Amino acid sequence: MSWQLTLITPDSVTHVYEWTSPNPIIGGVTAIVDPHGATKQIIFRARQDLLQAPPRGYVFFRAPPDGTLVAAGVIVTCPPLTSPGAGPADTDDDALERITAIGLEQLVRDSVIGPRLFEEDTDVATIAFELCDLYAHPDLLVDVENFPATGHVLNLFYRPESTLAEALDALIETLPGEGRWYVDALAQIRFVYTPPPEPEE
Amino acid sequence: MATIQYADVVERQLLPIDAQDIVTKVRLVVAGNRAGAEPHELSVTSNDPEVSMTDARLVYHPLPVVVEYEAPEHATYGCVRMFSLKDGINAFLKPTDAGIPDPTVLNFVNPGSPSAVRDGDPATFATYAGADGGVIEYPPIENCFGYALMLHLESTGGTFPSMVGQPPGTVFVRMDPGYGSDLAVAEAVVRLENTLKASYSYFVLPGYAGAAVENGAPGPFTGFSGSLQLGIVPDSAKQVSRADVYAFYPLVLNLPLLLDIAAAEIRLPAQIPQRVTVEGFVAPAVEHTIVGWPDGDYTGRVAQQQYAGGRTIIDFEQASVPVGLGLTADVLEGERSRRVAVQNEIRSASYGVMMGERQ
Repeated sequence: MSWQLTLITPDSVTHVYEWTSPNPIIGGVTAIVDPHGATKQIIFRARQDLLQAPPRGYVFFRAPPDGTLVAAGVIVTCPPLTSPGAGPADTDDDALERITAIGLEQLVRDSVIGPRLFEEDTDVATIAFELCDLYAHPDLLVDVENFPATGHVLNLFYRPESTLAEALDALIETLPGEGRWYVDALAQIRFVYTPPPEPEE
Repeated sequence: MATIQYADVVERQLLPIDAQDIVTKVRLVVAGNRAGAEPHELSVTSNDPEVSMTDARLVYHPLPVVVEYEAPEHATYGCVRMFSLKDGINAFLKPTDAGIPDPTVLNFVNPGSPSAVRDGDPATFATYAGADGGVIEYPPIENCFGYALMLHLESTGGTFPSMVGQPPGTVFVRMDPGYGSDLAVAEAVVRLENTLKASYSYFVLPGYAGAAVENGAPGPFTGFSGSLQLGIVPDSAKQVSRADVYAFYPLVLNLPLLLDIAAAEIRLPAQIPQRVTVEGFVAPAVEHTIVGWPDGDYTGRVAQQQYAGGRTIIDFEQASVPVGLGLTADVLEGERSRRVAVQNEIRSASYGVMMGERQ
């Protein structure tokens, strides 16, 4: 099986395969992910007049051989939609063809939390889930299953008008051990916590 | 604006659209919490022997006063940012604004039209007349978040520290949220101290976080939209010897101004950013028109201009890199990588203790 790139815009869903002809994507697709599967970047070149990938459109990349969904991102750099691609002598081929998408964590940074006040002992993961459920970008999926309890509680949390990303970072920093949040290739926000190892007796 | 002949155009190239920092919805924080700062908690103790609970502790988490502006493009991009109101901007209506009515008064001499307490003139004032108590009261006004006060007060009344029982001669300001008593926001009452030298003060009171819908309140809090009173408790002993009110009026959000400020922060991606190189010198301007453009005369908003080699390089809609510094898309990529690296550096360097200390 070849690679597959899915472009989602407010108006349409477009699937592009390696064998699509004429193929708006020139060459292949490069996807960069971190060890946990969070997308860092998706880069490819395309004829915008054929692909019509708008700024802030979403791209999902499935890698060969089995078409596993490995990366998802939001387009942050792209040629204008009328760009016909570059010729061999063009010195500005990057401007005419290159499209760059970054991970969907950008949508978490684009979300602002409101005055949700936590005044009772509440698990850190529960706070994170409620904030995401209330304030996350509507195109992100928030499932309580992705916020497993940490076993650590806070009796006060209140950060109105912070970005959701800052709030999640602040929650992570209250935990001993290792914690992180990210958005996976299915656009699900995940809050992961690994407690520190037990001291040896 | 300059009119450029297409014959003078040497080169034209499209620029990559930079959609990294888009803002389609602005939350302008007026009071209660500077955007991005740690919110604070106020804690006061009541030690009045007449209060049924001694040492009652009231904890107050301010509900930020926020004005929100949403561009039509928000349905497409969904990018929200919060901004603080810049210092020096008055977020509230002037006292003489048509949106602020004259108050009703009882036992105050309040001359003038608009009356002395809201004419903006520090030399005019309303005078308390009598011993039967008095009140200056404004009717319910939406989006009221405090009051301005300039007062000369001489009183020996109201010696109890609290408002319980409203001792004779107490001078106070009461702000009514306009809700029923079963809601999270109670009326705010402040007892005024003697002030022998009148000075102009703004008192801004954000609501309490419990008044937010996400914290269980039945509806959004829109300010202390009930009545606003400056009152004197009836005082047969004439303990209030002098109460001259130079200014007393509600602080009502100046929504048209604040919405304009918020709208100015909207950042949308350029549609067709392009760089046009023109022979000769073109004076800087906000817009240029290129006559004879193949698709019809083109008028574009200028983002920046450069002058090099006897030519003018005009960037329309979006500023790009200086001439000769490399590929635009590469520079954008590099800028973003650098910004992420700097943010990570700041975060690790300024590791702070947040609420709920790390153990």
